[in-house]
Amino acid sequence: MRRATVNEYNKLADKLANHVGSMKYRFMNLCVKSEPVSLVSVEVLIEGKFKKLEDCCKVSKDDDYHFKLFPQYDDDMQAIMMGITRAHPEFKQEVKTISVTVPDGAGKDTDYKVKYLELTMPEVDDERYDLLTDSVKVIYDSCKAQMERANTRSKAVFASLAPGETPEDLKLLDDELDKLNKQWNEHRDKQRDAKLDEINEAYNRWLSHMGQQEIARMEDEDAHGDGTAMRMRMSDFE
Amino acid sequence: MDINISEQEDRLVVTFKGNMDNASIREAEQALAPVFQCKDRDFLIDCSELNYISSRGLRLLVNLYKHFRDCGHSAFIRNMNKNVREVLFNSGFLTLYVEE
Repeated sequence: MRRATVNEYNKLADKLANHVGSMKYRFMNLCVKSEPVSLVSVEVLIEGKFKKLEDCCKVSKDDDYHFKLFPQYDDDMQAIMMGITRAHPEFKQEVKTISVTVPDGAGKDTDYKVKYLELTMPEVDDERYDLLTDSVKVIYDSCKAQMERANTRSKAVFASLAPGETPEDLKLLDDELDKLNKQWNEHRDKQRDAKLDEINEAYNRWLSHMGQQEIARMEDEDAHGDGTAMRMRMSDFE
Repeated sequence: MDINISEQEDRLVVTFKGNMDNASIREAEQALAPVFQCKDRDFLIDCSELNYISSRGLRLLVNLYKHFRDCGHSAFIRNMNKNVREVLFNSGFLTLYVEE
C-alpha cells in the first residue's frame, strides 16, 4: 500500500479520535457529576493576575456530586469563589471548616480550624433534565456530522490515490476503514449512552426526593384534616 | 401523552402512553377528570407504555391515590419500566400503590 494512502488513513483515524474526544470533553462540562475537568476553565484573580485554580488551592473529591477546595491562603477564598462563579454559576458554593489536630512532638496536641470551599453539583430537576438531554443530543449530532465530514474528505483523497493501488490493497483499505468507523461509532454511541445514564441517574435521585416530598405533603394534609374538611363541606350539598 | 380509561373486573384501569412530562400534565389532569368522579371501585394504573414521569406527574399520582384511598378503595400499579419503577420505589410510592 502506498505511503500516501497509509498517511491519509492515519489522518482520518486521528480526526475521528479527536472528534469523539472533544464530544466527551463537552459532555464532562455539562456537570451532572463532579468532573475535575470542569474546573480547568476556572481562573482566579489574585493580586491583579489570573491564576489557574490548581495554583491557589488543593482540590479533593469525596463523592460523585461534590468537590472540596482547600485554598493555600484563607485570604484567597473570596477570589476563588468569584472565579468559580464566573466559570460555573450553577455550582452551589459553601464555606465550611474542619478541625485538624496537630501533635507538637512534646505530647501536646493543637487543634486548628481549616477553612475549605465545598462545591455541590446542581440538582437535575425537570427543567435541567430537559436542558441536559437536549444538550447531549446537540453535542452528539455535531460530533456525528464532523465524523461524517472527515470520512467524506478522506474518501475523496483515497479515490484519487486508488489508481496506484493493487485490488488486494484496495480491499484491505475498505475493510480497515469499515473497522475504523465501526470502532469510533461504537465508542461515540457508548459515550452518549453513558452520559444519558448519568443524567437519568441524577434526575431519578431528584425525582425520588420530590416524590417523598409529595407523600409528606399528603400525610401533612391528612394530619391537619384539610381534605376531610373539604369532603365534609361537599357532603352538605349531596 | 395518551391516556386510556377502561373498566376491567370491577376496577377502573388507566393506561398512560408516552411521556408524562410537565408540558402534558394539564392535558392529563383534564383527561383524568372522570377518574376523580369515580368513587365505587378500585383503581389500577397500567404503565406498560409510560416512558417517563416528571415531578408534576408524581403529584398527579399522589392525588389519584388519595382520592381512591379516601373513597375506601385500593390503588394498584403494574408494568412499570426500569426508570419509572426506580423513581416510584425510591420515593415510597410503592408503599401507597400495590404493585401487581
